[in-house]
Order: sequence, then C-alpha cells, then structure tokens
Amino acid sequence: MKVGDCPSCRAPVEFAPGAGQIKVCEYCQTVVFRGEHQLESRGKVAELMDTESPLKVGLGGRYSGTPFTIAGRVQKSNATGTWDEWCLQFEDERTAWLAESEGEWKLLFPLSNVAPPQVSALHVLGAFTLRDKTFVVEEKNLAKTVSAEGQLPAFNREHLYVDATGPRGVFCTLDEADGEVEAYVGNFVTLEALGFDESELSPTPKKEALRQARCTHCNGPLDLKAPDATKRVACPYCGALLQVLGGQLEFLEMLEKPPFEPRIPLGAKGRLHDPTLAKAEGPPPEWTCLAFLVRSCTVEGTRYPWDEYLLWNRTLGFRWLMHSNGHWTWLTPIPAGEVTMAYRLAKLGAESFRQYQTVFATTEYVAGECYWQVTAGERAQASEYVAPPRSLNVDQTDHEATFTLGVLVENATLEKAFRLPKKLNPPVGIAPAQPNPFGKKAGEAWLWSGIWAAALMVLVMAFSLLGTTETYYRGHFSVPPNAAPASPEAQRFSEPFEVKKAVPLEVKVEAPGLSNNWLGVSIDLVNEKTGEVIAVYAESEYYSGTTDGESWSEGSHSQTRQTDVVDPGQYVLRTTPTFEASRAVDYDVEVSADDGAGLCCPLFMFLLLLAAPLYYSLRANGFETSKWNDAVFQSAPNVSTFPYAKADDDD
Amino acid sequence: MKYFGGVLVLAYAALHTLRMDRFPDEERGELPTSVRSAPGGILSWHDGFMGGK
Repeated sequence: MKVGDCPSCRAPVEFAPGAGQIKVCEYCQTVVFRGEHQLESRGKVAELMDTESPLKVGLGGRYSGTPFTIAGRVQKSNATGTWDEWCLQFEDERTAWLAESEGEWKLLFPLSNVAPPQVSALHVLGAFTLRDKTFVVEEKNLAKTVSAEGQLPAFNREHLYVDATGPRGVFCTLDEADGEVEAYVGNFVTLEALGFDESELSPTPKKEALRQARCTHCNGPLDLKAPDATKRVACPYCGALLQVLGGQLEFLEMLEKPPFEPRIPLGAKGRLHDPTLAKAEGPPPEWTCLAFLVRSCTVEGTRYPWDEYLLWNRTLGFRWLMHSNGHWTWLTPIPAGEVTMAYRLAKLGAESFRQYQTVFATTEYVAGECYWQVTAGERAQASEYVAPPRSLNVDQTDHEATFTLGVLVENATLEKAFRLPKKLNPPVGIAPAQPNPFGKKAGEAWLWSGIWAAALMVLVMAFSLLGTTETYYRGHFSVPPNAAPASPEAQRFSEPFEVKKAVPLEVKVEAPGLSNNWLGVSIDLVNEKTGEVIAVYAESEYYSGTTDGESWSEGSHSQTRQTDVVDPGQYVLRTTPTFEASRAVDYDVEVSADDGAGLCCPLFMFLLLLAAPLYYSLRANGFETSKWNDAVFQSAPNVSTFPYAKADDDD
Repeated sequence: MKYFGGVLVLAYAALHTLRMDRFPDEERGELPTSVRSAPGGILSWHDGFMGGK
C-alpha cells in the first residue's frame, strides 16, 4: 500500500498494489496520478450521481474461480444518459470492467498485443476483426467521464467508443482517446455469476420506492414493473414523459396521448415461450407488458402506422411484440455480430433473410416504462429482412443499431397467453414474413406429380413393350387414267392379308405425289370369314407456294386413322379414292396393329397430373407478387423505391 | 395430389386394359350376302360401304 497526500487537499491518498495508477481523492474528487516520484493532480471530477446501482467500491466477488474486488468506478455520460463502469481488480493481477447495458451486465477484459482499428474510422454496422473474430459495431458515440471514485488503471476526460458484438455472444468495446485505442472483449454475465453477496445486490430502496411512484404531473399511480431497468416513463393517464434519475421521477415533457388504447394493456402479464427459440423447455415464462409505442413511416405521402409493445421478464430481459394490420410479430434482441450482412441479404447462422423493406420510422406515441431514453419524434432507419415465418429487423440511428429476430405469432396465442378480454382484430393483407400458404402445397403437388408422372411413364413403357405395332399390310395403288372420282373404275382391292391378333388397327394413307391438291381415300377392311366390314376415310391435302418472296406449305401428304379392336383373321382391303377430276395421284396404304401404349390417353393423364401443381404454383406466385409489390426501400425519408413492384398494365 | 395422381395412373391402366383409351374413326357393317355369294366374291363388290364417308 502506497500512501501519499492529495496534491489538492493534502488528504491522505492510498494506492493498493497492482490496482492502477489513478486514485480519486475521496475528500475533494481530485484525480490523483501516481508518478514515479510524486503524486500529480489530473484535475477534479464532479460528485458521483446516484445511478441506483446495486454495486459499490470495495465489494468482493469471484469470477471463474478467481476472487476480485471492485477497486474503482467511473461514471460516464453521453447525449442520452449516464452510466457506471466498475473496475474489477482480480487476485491474479488482471483488471476487468463491469458495465450495465439495458438491464444486462457485460464483463470486459483489456486485450493486449492487438492492433485495433481507429474508432473514428468505424461506423454503425461496420465490421472489424480482432484476433480472427469479426465484430459488428452496434453503437458509436462520444463518452465524457463526469465522475469517478476508487483506484483506476487510467483516466480520460472524454473518448470515442464503439460497442460491437461478435459471434456467440462475444462483446467488444474500443475506446479511443488522444489517438490511442484500447480494446476490451468479454461476455454478458449475471451478477449471480460474479459471486457477489446477494444481500448487497437487492434493488436500492429508492428503486423499490419507484414501484409505487406517482406521476409528477398528474399524480396518477404508475405502478412501475421494472424500476431497476426503467429510464423513461410515459404516464398513461396524462401523457407526461418522466425520466428516472436518482431514484426519482422528473418531468421532461408532455407527450401526445396515444390515439387508442393498447391492444395489450400496460401491466398485463402473459405466459408464453419465446417463439424464436427452437425448443421450449419447462413452463412458459411470464412476460409483463411495460410499454406501448406507436411508430409510423410515411411512404409517398401516406402514413403507415404500427404499434409495438415492450415485454419484460426479470430473468430473460426484454422482448417486443409488433402489431401491424392485425399481424403480430414477436421480436427477440440478438447481437449484431451474429448476423452477416450482404447486398439485400442478411444471414443468421445458416439461415438467409431477404431484404423486404427499409423505411424511416418515427416514434409518435409512448405510454409506459422504457429501458432507453425514449423521446417522441425520434427517428430511426428500420430495415426488415424476411425468411418466412421469421424476420430479421434492424433499427439504426446515427449512433446505434439494434437487431431483433422476429417470428409471426397467431392472434389466438396472444389472446390466450395474456387472457385478453376482447378478441384481437383479424389480420388484413399479407405480412412481410408471412409464409406463402400455397408454396408448401405447390412443392408437395410437384413432388407427387413427379412421382406419379414417373409411374405413368413406366406404365406407358410397359404397355409399349407388351403391345404390338406389327405391320400386316402395305400396298401401292394407282388410279386409272380417266377414272371418275369414287367410281368403281377407281376402286382397287388388296391381296388378302392376315391380322394375327385381336388388336386395334392403324390405317395410314400416304400420297407422296400430292402437290397443291387433295385426295380422299375410303378404305373398307373386309373380314373374309365373317364378312364384317370396317370402314375408315382418310383425306390428305397439301399446298405450297411463295408469297412475298417467302415459301410456305400447309397440310400433309399422309393421314392416319384408328379402328377399334378387330377380330383376327384373313382380310381384304378395298380402296375408293375421291379426288379432283383428272387430278388423281397414286397412294400407299399401310395397315398395322395399334396395340401400343397410345398417345392421347397418357398425354391427357399427364396434363391432368400437371394441373394441381400448376394451380398451386400460380397461386403461390400471385401471393409472392402481391407481397413483394409492397416492398419499399427508402434511401431518405421522402425518397422511396419499390424494387419488386410489377408495372401496372392499366397505367 | 398424393392420391389423385395415383387415381389417374390407375385410371389410365384400366382404360388401356379395357381398350377404352382409343378414339376410333371407323364405321362397321356387314358385307351384303349377295356380294359374298356372287362369283368373284368380294372383288365384285363395288357399292355399299364407302369408308365411313
């Protein structure tokens, strides 16, 4: 222990070994630097503000088996508030910092032998790498040290800082002062995990008193549910915005009251599992509705409002419920470092989310208690990426970005969980993360259509192999000169031929010499034994020529006709040609078995198989088109583009 | 679709087996007895059926 006199007030100043070269004089708040030969003054700091922290200098704890003592405390502030950072001195001579952030505690250790990037060069949502880990900046700001106590390793009046997150919950802070950058990495911890004496960690009496606080403006009872974490209270009775400071409520401004009652009443408690979690274990936790916000964006002069509900659980922290057009989305905060951003794409693990919209959202109304310094009129750039039924949401300001993972929740789930007396309004339109109800059906229909089409093909092939297409007769016929059409002189008979099986027949008439002419041939198949006549008529026509330098043709030189099943036996074929007088042409006739798989019937079945998947695919496509038509990207509050909108034919 | 496709395939198999998957263009009748008994038989047949026309 080194003892000296405060350079300012001469009061004794004690330095514990290994706990830093800065000590704040507890009598005059002079920042005393322990030089090699003497103690030097680094100016004074203000008196400590009561931040209602459950911690205090001198408190001992244990982390990962190593005991530590809280050696000092720095009180910092930026434009939005004041917070504490606690310096922990471990027995193994390590130093760490413990800071509270939105109800959660983060423990950070200084990182040596690294070359961190300049904080001034970083921006919100920018990424940097430290020791092969990529971190994404969630907050960038300027912090001023307003007060301090105890013994500290360093002291800066003000510094730039970024808070960033990496994969698997790793947290990183970079502090830049006078061009020097210090890096700290760590994780979120609970006070219980730090081995503090629980009796000393109870909420301070002032915070407990806040539970029964009344509005300083209208004296309405506020019944705060989370006084430990609350920084702003919007009185639900009069609309006064109050800040929580030193365990007291202070009036800030009057807010306009929300134009309608919240659909989930403030203070309502509901039990349900976080639907963003893959597994729900144990009984559902209880969530309390702390705050109600109405936010909106304006696209091409039209205001699109939605409401948000802040939920709180003492162990699990904060969650959000967002309500828009009757659709409810549960939102769970996630570290930015878990998300990889690309052009119009975001990835969370192996899951890809497609950018649906980016708008400038304005907070219009607030009621209840909030864990951040909410103000009416505050504006943020809100982006939504979707992978139905989940969504990734990014709220970004100049200084800060927050990521939430969303899942659509059924109205009935919320009605039951919060025991709502009135039914929630049914959903209207399509929610960005709404699953396509026809997509799954289309997929299933295509799968089964494919399976049955393959079965149909197998059947067709089997019938083709088992059936016969043997040719029973082939003959060439000429029309005598001067024979009249359809006259007995023009008729011809074939030699007898045998049809071996009871099969349908295919009769083909071909006239290769047909040119700008037509020929009809009546064919009578006569069963010599039974005298049965099976008659078919085939008429061919073929025309060709040149029009405007382009050659053309139409019709065919051949025609085919089918019969039903004929009896096996000996047959004779009679042909009676019909033609334009004096323009008769020779022709060939072929008679074959037509016992294959056929064409029309399997083709018809195949088309029927396609009907259902095509129907569902068209419906699915219509759903997606309708949804993505509304996707809007705003590069500025008044500059909107609709990148996926289909042009309206009526315009 | 799971069952409807199966029904379609079975229907095709049944129609093919029953020869009901054809659309014949024929007309049937009997050769007149007078023709069958005439000298020259069928070769003397010059009227009657005209191939369904």
